[in-house]
Amino acid sequence: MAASAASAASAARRGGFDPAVTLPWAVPLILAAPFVGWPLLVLGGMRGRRAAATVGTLAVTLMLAATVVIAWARFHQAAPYRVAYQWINIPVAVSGDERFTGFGIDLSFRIDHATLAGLAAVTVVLLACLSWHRVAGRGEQGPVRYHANALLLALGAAGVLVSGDLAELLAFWLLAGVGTYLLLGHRWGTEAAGRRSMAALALPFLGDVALLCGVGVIYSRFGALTIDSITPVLHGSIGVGLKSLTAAAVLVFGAVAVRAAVWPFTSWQTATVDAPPASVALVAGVWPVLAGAVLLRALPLLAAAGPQASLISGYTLGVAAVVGPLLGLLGVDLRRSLLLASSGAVALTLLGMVYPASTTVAFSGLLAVALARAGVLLAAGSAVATLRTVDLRALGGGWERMPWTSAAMLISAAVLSLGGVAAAMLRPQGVAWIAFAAGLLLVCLTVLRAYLAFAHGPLRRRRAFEPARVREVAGAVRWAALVVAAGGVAAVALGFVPAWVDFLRVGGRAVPGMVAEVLWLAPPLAGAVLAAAVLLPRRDLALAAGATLGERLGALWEASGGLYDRFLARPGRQIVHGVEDVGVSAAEAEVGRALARTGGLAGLVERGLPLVPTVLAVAVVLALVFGLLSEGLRR
Amino acid sequence: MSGVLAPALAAWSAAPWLEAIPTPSVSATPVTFGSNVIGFSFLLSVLVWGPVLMAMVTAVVPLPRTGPGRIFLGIAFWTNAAALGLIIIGYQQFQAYASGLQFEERLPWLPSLGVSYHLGADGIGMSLLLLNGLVGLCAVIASWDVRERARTYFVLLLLTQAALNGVVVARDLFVLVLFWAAATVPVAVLAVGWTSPQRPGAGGRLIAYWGAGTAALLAGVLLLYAATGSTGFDLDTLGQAALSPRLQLVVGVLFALAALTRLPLVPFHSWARDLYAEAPAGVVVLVAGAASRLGGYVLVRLLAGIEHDASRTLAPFLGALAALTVVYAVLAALYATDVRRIAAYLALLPGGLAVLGVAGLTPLSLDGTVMLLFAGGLAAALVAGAAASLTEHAQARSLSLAAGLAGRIPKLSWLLLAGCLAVLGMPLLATFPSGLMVFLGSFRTQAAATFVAAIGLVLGAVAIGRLARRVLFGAPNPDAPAPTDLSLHEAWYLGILVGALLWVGLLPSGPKLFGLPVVDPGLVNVVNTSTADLASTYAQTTPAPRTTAPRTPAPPSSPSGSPSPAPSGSSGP
Repeated sequence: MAASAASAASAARRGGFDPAVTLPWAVPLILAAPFVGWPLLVLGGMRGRRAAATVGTLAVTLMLAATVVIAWARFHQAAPYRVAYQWINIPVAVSGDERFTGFGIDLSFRIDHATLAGLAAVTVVLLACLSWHRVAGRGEQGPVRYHANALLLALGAAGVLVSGDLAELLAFWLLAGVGTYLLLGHRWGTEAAGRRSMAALALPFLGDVALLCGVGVIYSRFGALTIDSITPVLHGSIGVGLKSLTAAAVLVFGAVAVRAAVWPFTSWQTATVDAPPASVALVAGVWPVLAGAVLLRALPLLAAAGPQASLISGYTLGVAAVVGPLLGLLGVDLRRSLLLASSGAVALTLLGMVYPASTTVAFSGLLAVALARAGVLLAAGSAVATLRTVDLRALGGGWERMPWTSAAMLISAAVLSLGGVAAAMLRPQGVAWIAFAAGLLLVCLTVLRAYLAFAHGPLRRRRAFEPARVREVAGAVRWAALVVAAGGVAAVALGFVPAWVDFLRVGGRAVPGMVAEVLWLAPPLAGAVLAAAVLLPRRDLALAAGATLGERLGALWEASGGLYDRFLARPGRQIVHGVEDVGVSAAEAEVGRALARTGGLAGLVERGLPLVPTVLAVAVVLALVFGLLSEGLRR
Repeated sequence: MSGVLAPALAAWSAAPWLEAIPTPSVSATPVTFGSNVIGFSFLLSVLVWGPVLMAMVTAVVPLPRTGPGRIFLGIAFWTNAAALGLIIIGYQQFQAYASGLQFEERLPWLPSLGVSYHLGADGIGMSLLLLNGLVGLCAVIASWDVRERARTYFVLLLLTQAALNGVVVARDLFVLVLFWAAATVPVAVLAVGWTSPQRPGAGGRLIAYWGAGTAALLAGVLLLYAATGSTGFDLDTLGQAALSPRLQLVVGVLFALAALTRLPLVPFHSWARDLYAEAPAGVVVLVAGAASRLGGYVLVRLLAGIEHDASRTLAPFLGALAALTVVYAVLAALYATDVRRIAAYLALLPGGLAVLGVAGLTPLSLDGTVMLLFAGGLAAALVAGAAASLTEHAQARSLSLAAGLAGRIPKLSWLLLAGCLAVLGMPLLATFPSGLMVFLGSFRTQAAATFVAAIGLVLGAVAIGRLARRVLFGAPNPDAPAPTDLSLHEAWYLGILVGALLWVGLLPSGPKLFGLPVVDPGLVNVVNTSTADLASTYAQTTPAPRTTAPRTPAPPSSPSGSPSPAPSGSSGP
């Protein structure tokens, strides 16, 4: 407060405006805007699509404005801005370990430059998707519901980014998960919609519970939930060893991997491609940023946990960077291919973040990939809606008929292909360079395959489809995709600027020089050349091969589903049926019969048993029982 | 008001046969809302005997000759509303951070046996009183459409309410057992008389399990009484008695049995499964929301509160049972095909997590347990009540018929979804902070059980996803009857439950203005008042630092080549 007062005084003397005075209201506004907008939509009695869109867009715009103001105020401050409001603060014990005599959860804000960059990326994605949906989503059901769910996701996302308390972070993470579930299950009334909603809840919740367990392990060892207070004591806390740290680190990393939707956790996004395109783009664009932000916070934990945790994270991300895009080559669904390809790009940037030298440039690359992911999916949504097919074999002629959409797709594809290059240029340790090289090539190949299939080649007539009637989408729709794509370009370029690396200050160094590391541009270039060489001259053959392989993979997946049903689901059903409908009833019936028999015994006594011997026998039994229970019998 | 009542109360108090301990003296804190409204010492007795009195009135009041016979509903509604009003005022007046009993009343009853009419409320009791008040009112509103034998129905509802309040505020174990047993009778009659005739077993199972639990509780109390010299049944006296570990274990097992049959936990859950799935909404709300929470109350108050050695011995078993309950309940929900049954299984989750908190035996987990008894009661009532209302409006119970309802009955669908998310412990709802406290507190001492329970929550998400997919978001069945959305009374009772969950979920410490509490002192503060004392026995000690013995240099190897001894020392964990 003294520092801000001093800076305000100096600004006043200079006759200027000190943006630091805005912090007390700008910081809470980041959360307050969606927090107020959500009940306004849910309980405000709104019915109209435009009104709902206006409220939603206004709330997100306020979030962006607050972010800009805070960035202006904190531009020259290296240390994070911290403010906390008590939510729970109770003394739970009057004696014992000091770390556990009190418990508190704060609504705390911890805003550094990386947080501001993440907030900016998330709000730009939100605005783009809401703008896209406002025009292109006119035919979607439940407009008020859509914007309410989007604001719920916005609230959760902003909370995750600014949280300084682990319990608070968990709460906002779960909230964002609920918003995601409702967004992806937005289209009601079809069997596919129902399946989507289940996929969007079950698998991601596994990651959420992993985060809960990770926070539980951390709290049980350190007795603290504030992130900044845990980091200095990671080493040397009494009772905390490598096992605990490794368990916590692996659990938190698991949560990051699931929500970032890197392979093998891609299915919660690929299974929900039939959701509204803006929902798919929003979710695909926001969650990598949140996952990256949590990984940033968890890096000290990963480092303290020793080699095992780093190996697990490194290998998982390395494999994901290769397998994800590979799977994107199988099948001919435009949206699925793009999701899988971009999952590889996300994995590459997260992999770069794990290595200390490349943390910052990788984080910048992650922001670029997130923006580009949203951009390419918005463009794909426009393409699918206009061309009325998701099949790559039936697409084509994009540059001719939809040049802006094609441009957005191309720019986004380029950003996705180059997102991990800066991190690769910083010479990752060990065998990670293999993952980088293969991943960069495959990401570029897969994403350009989809682009080339849409943008180039002939657009053929189909039943009830006339190519001549295909037109470019409306202005707001095309600009939404272009703006996020441009944002991705800026983020990628900034990753090569040392001043930006210094500004973010999350560790690592800048790329020493483009010229020196230009060799790392070879893998994405090779991917581009390969894509062009295969798709342009032999498009139909290449896509047919992809379709066949995709069908085979689908059949394999169905077969594994059958195995799951045969060896897990059906036995489980039988066990539950056996216990619930048979076992419990049988046990209760037996107990009832036994009780009835004792009643019969009483009748027997009444009818004919001699009284004295019976009483004596009962007394002996009782004496034995009480004797056994009492002290002193056994010494 | 106090000016009118004071003379009458003075005369009443002067009677020699009545010795009531007055309420604690007013604190030095500024005057708050509600102070001086309750200027008499019988708040808890009013809450216990008021519903009994009104039940008697309901039983004898003649039916009006003209107009609808809604007088019974009216009596029950206003009785519960008044009780809730008194509870809220008492809750607001409750002095958080002051240990000991408040609103205490004591009257000798059977002095030769050491039985006294001793009532009092601490933080735990206050929170459960508030739960009883909220749930009781919701149960009456949920019973708006009860026309069949309405007089008997509402008499039984009021008697149940009275007994539940009695259990929570009783400080004499004999009186506690009486109220515990007294709650069984009206609930059993409601279960037998108003459940679906196709499933006659619900009432019988309830009688059997609750009867067994009552017998176990009685046996435990009598054993405790006998072991302490038969001086009395006062909880504080019995709690300070030094018992042998073996006797504590026997008593502890009996208390645990009583609690687990009431909560319930697997494998004692069949009564809950049937009752929640078959009984009318009002009965379901009352039992799932309040009556079943008494099991957790007994675990906290009697087992963890006074049987410390037994608690430590039984903790792993309780933890295992809790984890088993969570996992089994969600698996059963995953495979069930009846909407109400799925909700019934999901309603078991908060009870399982509450027992996990007791098994954790840390101050934080015990705090979380009491909070979760409150929040979990609301969540269980919400999910079971919403399912009951939804199936009634959809006129279908199976997943195949009651399908795709979200587009046609959106309000009920959202409320059911809210109940499901509450049971899972989602943020913004009261089950989140309470469940989090249970998890964080239990991870240290019952890591395996806590982890398994967490896995159970993942399966719970799968079960809820399946329910939402088929019943809410999926394709509607064209052969199903046309559904209607919720009626006004359903909106009220489900809304009250959601509102309470949101209020405590957003403001567990109560709203504050310039740092001072306003209106609500904060449930977490009220609960912590007594759990901090109760849990001090289980406070976690600081682990001793591991020391590494100085490494001794290896002696030179002997000419015969025998190996030198390895240097001693300990490696880190």
